[in-house]
Amino acid sequence: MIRLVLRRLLVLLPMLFVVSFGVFLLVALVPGDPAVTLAGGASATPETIANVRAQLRLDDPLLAQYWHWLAGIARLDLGRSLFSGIPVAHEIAARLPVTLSLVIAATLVAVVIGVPLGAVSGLRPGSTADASARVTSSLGLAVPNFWLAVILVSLLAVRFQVFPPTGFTPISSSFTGWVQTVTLPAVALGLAPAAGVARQLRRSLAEVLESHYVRTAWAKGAGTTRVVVRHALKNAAIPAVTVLGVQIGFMLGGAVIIEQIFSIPGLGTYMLQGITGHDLPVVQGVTLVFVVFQMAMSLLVDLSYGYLNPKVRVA
Amino acid sequence: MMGRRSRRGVLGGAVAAAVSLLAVVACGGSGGGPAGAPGANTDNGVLRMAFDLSGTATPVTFDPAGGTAAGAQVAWQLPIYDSLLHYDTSGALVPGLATSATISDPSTVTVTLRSGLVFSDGTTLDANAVKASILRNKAEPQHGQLSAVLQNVSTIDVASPTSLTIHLSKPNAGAFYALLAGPETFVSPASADLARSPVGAGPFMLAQYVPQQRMVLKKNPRYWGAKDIHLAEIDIVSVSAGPQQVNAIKSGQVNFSLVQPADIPAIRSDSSLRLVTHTTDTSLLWMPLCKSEPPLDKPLVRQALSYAVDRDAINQAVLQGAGEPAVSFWPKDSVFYPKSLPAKYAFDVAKAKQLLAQAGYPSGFDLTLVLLPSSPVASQTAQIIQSAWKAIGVNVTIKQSSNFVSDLYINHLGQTSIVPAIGTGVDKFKTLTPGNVGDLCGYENPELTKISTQLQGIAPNSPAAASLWADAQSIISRDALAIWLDFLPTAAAVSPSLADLNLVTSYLVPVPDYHTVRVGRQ
Repeated sequence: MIRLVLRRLLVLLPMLFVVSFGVFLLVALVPGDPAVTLAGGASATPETIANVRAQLRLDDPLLAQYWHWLAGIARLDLGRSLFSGIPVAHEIAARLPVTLSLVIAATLVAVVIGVPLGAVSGLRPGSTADASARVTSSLGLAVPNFWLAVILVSLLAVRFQVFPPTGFTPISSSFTGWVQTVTLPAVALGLAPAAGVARQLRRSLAEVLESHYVRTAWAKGAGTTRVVVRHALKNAAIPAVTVLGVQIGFMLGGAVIIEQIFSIPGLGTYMLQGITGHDLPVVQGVTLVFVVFQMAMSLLVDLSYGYLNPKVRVA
Repeated sequence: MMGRRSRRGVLGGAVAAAVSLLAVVACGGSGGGPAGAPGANTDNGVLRMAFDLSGTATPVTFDPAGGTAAGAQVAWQLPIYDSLLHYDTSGALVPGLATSATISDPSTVTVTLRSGLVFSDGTTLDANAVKASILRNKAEPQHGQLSAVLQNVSTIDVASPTSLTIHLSKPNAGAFYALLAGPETFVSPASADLARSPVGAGPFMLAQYVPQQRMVLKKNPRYWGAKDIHLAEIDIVSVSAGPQQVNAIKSGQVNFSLVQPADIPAIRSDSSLRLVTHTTDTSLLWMPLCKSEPPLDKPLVRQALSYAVDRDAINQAVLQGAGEPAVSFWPKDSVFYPKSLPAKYAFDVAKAKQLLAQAGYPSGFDLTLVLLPSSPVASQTAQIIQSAWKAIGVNVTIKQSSNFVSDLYINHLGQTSIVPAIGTGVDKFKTLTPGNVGDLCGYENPELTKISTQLQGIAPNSPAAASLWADAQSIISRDALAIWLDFLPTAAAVSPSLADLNLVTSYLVPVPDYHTVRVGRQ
């Protein structure tokens, strides 16, 4: 298993280098001049714009700018926000736990809803329960998360006042407060992944239940729970875990909108502020975190294969 | 609709008599004291306010010398630090920490402080403390919006513990506005950690701050007007601008929230909420024009375009009827409002067509309008303008640009735009006179440039200033140098538990008047 981890990490390192260059180029080559905004927009004079450009080293060659940025990353220095002056790394460190706790809660929603739905559906293909589960999962996939968020707020926060419509309480401050503030955004963010997991699990479980080793287990007189949980579900879980891993990455992207709707001070809100304000260090820093997170999720998914299927460890 | 008055007009009300006395009459203890409140209201209520603490209002530091002093920070800066003068609910300047301020010439203002002022930690706030704070802030070159004003302060003479005179290095009477009633802040010299534990002389003290989420301000019992503050606490809950604000107040999470124009109907239709609106001269929706290049280089063409704009329709459709059609860059309540201009450029398609024909464009022409995509109001207005101008043969292509300033003002990818704000006072000329990026296509009108320079050197609301503003507006209107559309409303949704809630605009930021508002028993 350790060799598997090392192998995957060795592949990730050069990939990270390439990705960092991509992130830098993508943002640096976007049209527009942050110096103009920073110098006062329409009220700026050409002199103040030139001064700001010099301060930000925007006149340096692109590769020099990239090297400067990369050297900063090595020191965990992602630069400072052009507008607030706050170090981007400091802000990301403060906001990452918020977004991660939202993504974890949404993952819980996806698993708690998706796995039972997929299992029920996969165990009795063609049954009424299966049909109901498939309709439900289709709906879950079809409904956009931002729309669902608005509906949830209108009903459960504004009309019935069960949950607060906005805000976020860290789990370290109050567990109850965290549950109250994270429930609606987590449901909005986690329902589509739940549907994806359910559909994938249904398909793979139905296939696995038809396999010889499962028939053998039945023939040997094993109970339903033992056959399904011990033999079938573990093997059927591999495709579902892949889907979940990919969905968790997407959830990070989805958090940009969901955090805005619920006024959650996470990375998504920060990213949006960076984009609208043309705050390059913020956009670069958050994008890098998103990419690293996605790569880490891929690594975790790969490693989970090794756990679920020992043959992968050998390969 | 609350008392609507421009800020410059407000300052004018206080600094009237021009180069002579600024008559802010001392009034004992009450600065814009509260109007009568229902007996059911307590003096210990909590104002729970939705406000975005995660954007430009983020308190990077509570030390005014170390912060960027972005405009939105005024919402929490003023309750903690207070200002020399206040805006009251009618829009006039009233005493704050100072009982009076006298502009003796465009470079000199003498301030008289209240006697017996103390900071929230008990340290004396006298003329020396005010001087020390101004110089302390001046020493910080990144002091945000006030940087230019502070750098213009040359000397400060302290005549007595309650009297000081501020001298500017070059005449700029408009700068006094920021110094007297803006976010210029005075800090306790005894404070050890202003960045995290601010000590000011305002009506409230910082009690709790959870970054990006919540700020709690508790009443300062040592405040000079403490007996007239009817709130025990201001609880600022971070809520992003937009429908989230409406949700926050409808769910009871807060009892006060600013709302966007698009959300006004949602508040009007809710009988359990009250809508309060307020208009300021800086919230102006207008169109800059590229006047140095065809076809907009011809005054007749620009006049035609202005006649083809239905400002009332924009107000109704986009601003939910809560705005004010604009005929110049001063609204009706301003002392500078040009009373002779309202009839000019009333919506008249026939007249517009006639002018276009006279200008040599009987069949119209094509025009590109560069638009900032983050302004829904500008986007909706652009569509109305596009439709209206099509009727006179002008085909408008709307180009959304995330690099608005560069695309419009530097690269000239369009001939016009719709801008939702304009500067304060003489800064309004930055978009109409040379030397700034905002002067679209580098147009210069020597008459206007001369007036702008003259206004820089006189007291903001002197008779001479009023005369110059009148001249400027006549020139702009005559030559249609810009197309004024509508003044945007600042709107707030207010819970019925709040009484005497009025909006005041302090240094570009609309905030509730903390000196009048009361909260019912909760």
